[in-house]
Amino acid sequence: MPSRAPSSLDAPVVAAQGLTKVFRDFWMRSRARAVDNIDLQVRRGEIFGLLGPNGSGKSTTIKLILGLLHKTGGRLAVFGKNPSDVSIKRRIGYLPEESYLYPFLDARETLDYYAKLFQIDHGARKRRIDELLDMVGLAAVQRRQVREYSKGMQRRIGIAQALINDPEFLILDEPTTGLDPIGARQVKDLILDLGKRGKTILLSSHQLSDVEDCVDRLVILYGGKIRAEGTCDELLTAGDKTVIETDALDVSEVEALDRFLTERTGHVVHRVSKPRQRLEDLFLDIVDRARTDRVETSGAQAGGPTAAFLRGAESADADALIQRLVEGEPAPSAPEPERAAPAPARPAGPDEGVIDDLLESAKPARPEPLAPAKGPAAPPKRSENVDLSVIDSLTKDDGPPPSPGAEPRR
Amino acid sequence: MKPAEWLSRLNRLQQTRPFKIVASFVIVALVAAGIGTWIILTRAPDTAEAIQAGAEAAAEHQEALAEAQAMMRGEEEARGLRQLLGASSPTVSVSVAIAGVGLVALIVTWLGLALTYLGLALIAAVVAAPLYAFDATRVWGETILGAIALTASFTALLQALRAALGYGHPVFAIARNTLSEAVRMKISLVFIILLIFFLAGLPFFLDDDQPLRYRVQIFLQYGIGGSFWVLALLTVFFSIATVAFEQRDKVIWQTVTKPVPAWQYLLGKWLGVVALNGALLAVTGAGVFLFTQRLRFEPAMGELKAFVSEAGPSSPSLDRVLLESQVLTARAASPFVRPVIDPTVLDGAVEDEVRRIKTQDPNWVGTARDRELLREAMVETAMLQYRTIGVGVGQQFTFEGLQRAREGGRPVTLRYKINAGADNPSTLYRVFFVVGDAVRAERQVTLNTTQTFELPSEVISEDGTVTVEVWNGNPMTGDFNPRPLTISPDEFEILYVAGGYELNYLRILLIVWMKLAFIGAVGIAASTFLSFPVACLVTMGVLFVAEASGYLVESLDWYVADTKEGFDYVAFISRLIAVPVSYAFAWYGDLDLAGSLADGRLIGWAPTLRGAGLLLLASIFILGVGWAIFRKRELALYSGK
Repeated sequence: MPSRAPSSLDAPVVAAQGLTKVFRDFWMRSRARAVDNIDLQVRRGEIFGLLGPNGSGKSTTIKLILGLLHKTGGRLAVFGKNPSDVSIKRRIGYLPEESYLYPFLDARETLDYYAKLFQIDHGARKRRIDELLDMVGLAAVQRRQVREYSKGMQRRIGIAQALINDPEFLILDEPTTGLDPIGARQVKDLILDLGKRGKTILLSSHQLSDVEDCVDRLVILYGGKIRAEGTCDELLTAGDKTVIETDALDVSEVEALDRFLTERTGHVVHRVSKPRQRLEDLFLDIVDRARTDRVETSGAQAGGPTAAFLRGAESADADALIQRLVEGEPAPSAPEPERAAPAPARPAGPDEGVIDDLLESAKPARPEPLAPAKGPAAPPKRSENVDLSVIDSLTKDDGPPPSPGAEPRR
Repeated sequence: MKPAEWLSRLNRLQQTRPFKIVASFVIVALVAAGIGTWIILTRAPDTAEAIQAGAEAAAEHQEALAEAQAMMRGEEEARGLRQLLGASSPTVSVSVAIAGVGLVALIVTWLGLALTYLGLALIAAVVAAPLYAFDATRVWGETILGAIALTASFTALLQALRAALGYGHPVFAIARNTLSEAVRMKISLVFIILLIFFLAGLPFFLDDDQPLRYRVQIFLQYGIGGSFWVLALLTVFFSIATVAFEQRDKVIWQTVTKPVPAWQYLLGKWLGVVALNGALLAVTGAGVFLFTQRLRFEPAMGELKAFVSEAGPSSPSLDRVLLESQVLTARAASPFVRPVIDPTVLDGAVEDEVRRIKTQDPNWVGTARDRELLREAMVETAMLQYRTIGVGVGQQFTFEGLQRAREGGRPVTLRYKINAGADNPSTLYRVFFVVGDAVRAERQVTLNTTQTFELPSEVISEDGTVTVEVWNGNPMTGDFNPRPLTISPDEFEILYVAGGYELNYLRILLIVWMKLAFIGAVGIAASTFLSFPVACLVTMGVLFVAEASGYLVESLDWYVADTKEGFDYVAFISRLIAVPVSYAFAWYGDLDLAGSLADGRLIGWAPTLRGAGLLLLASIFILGVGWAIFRKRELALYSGK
């Protein structure tokens, strides 16, 4: 995931210095140091990940930011103000780790209630509620009481209420918990969508793949302290290895490649394997096909596009339409529902010159999990499934490396 | 589809705009058809004759009622009753009634309750009506009909309230949400159903053999008093649950992380509780009032039918007279005038007593406090002597401020209670009254029992005073009682009609509503920092102490630590707690007004507004304390467990 520079140089949304939270018992004895002297900043326009095992202080940190807990020490400012300041709440949307909703309200009433707390006027309220219910796929069951919803449906309505005020700063605590992979993908796409619109997002999750796909920067907490901090690239990229993806190669081709590398650079091929599709992608493919074939389901419906007010599309569309009407042009047809692009590919690593020598062009690919290096590098060995003749043919030609774009030697 | 799903669908349907529009057209069409049909019927010869005969019979009965009213309550009330009962011709009356029903149907439709009301009407027709048709089951039929009427009124009021609170402001949103919670959560639904059936069933516990005035008094007292206690318990549990459970279940996180200050949250919750109580009180109050009116139009003891005495129109039954003049009215009281003790004389008597005590006990210091106690004791003794009438002796008592009673021209009531020391309370004592030149009457009364004695307004002098001579025995016949008698000071007064029962009733309801608002404020404030069970305990404690404060204040005067047997440490510690608490709620105890309503006592606007104002101020103060605590709470820390 490429790191994105903050969209502005304004003050950070969240600024914590030496932030500490100690829980005490009734007799004011210190019982647990949940957050221990952490410094962190969430910059405007970035998607910030907060990771850590259970009890590491993630939720406590979030609650301190929201004013649900008071700090014991250090400094903490949200939008430059004390977290307890009511005025900043107008700019924040919060999805807690569990859906704490009124069981006796239905989905529409729930969103209407929270919208009124933001004093959103009636027309905008109705419009946003309609769009959000469509977006989270609950329009068909909007009149059912929340107590009758499944956990996933409750999470969806929770997401919707977090977005009702089109917040500048969105705090998501385990947003994909309880959601099926389709819903989880939609949430991730939504997060990326909102990120592109310049929203600041604080994401806390145990679903590491979700975090990896979305965030610009992250911190990893343990025991209330920050153990690691940086972008995904900084933290995850193994600088001492390179992964190359090609069309299927036989054993001989792999051996030829191995020999070429050894001769040219002294490096050896440590591992050759067939790439695997992610289970999530397979799942989504199957569901997509089932939907195309119109197979019936009584579960949650597919979510709709991102709500117009979150995309900022409604005002832009209206302006464009008026412009065309004034100028006498026919009104444009309804735009296609916008879907967020899938997570972009991991960037190319080092040793680009060697790769250019070998490959004609690089196709964008989904990130592959790197095999963690365990112990000293194993001696190179031939893969049983590889066509060695190809590799052999590659290593016969000791001429200069081909220019980029040239056909690979066969 | 399950029945619950069907009901849910129907409920959603009746709230859609297209349904409301179509239903409105249907109602208007039915009203027009109904009025048209009635007009045609009245023009048909046979029907017109029957209608005219019925109208004449009704007019005769109305005139009899009005005559009785004139006799008992004055011409002004009789005129009002004539206007009410004999407004217009049958054709217009029925047409107006049909139009009125149509208007109500339209309102109900646009409140989104058309199908609900149809359903209730169906239950009434299918279940209640057949039960009502048979004597053996009539009681059940009437109970169910009463419950249906109360339910229908409550749902309509609630819907109207929710619509009124529909503005997009956090306080109103929270209040509206609280109302929804009240009717959708079991904890309050149980009380609401209990209240409805309590009121619907209460009339059937009245003994038909009792005089009508007693039945009306009992119904008023238990109707208002019983409703208050059910609503008070509902308020305690619901006001606490709505805040405590939100904290326990963390639902409150979703609210306080929105731009809602703590005071708006608490105010919204309180407003929701107050609105709920207002709706329930309006319904129960209307139910009690209407049933009281229904009781009023039943035959009293000594009547053939309502307002038609067995002894003839010029001799209304005593039961009817007392009902109309002492119960369904609003009477002001004029207590007897206490004698004024000359302070100089009193000081002299106190010093004489001090000297006498010092003569007997030279060590006695005689502090200022001792002198004050002596002064109080002497005044009390003097007053007692004034009210004590020796055997064969008479005492004169004056009552003032009765100009309004004289102008009203209606009879006034002398109220009194006598004691005679250790005599058997079942003994009858002979008391002779002389009031001016007009009244000389003997009464044989039981001791320690409140008695009343009607006096004509002519006994009131131009300056509004009445002088009453009370004799111990009958000086005319020489029949005297064996012992001196004492007149109870707090129950020796003249009562006169000073207003209407209806406004009195309204003022009582206002006070009851404010009392419930106060209890709600205590519950909400307690739940900001206490768990549900503890907050319930505290709030119930406040409720019981407040309601019993009048009794407590009086009792604590007698419960002293310094006794003849020695110093009572338990009493000392108890008083340390009880005295400030009971005096803190003394103002609340003074607002116990349901008994006044049943006694036909006037509760004026001044004391009503003062009482309501005090309750409101106390509520705001309590909520303020809750706010000060709540805004500092770490809500993520407390889970109520």
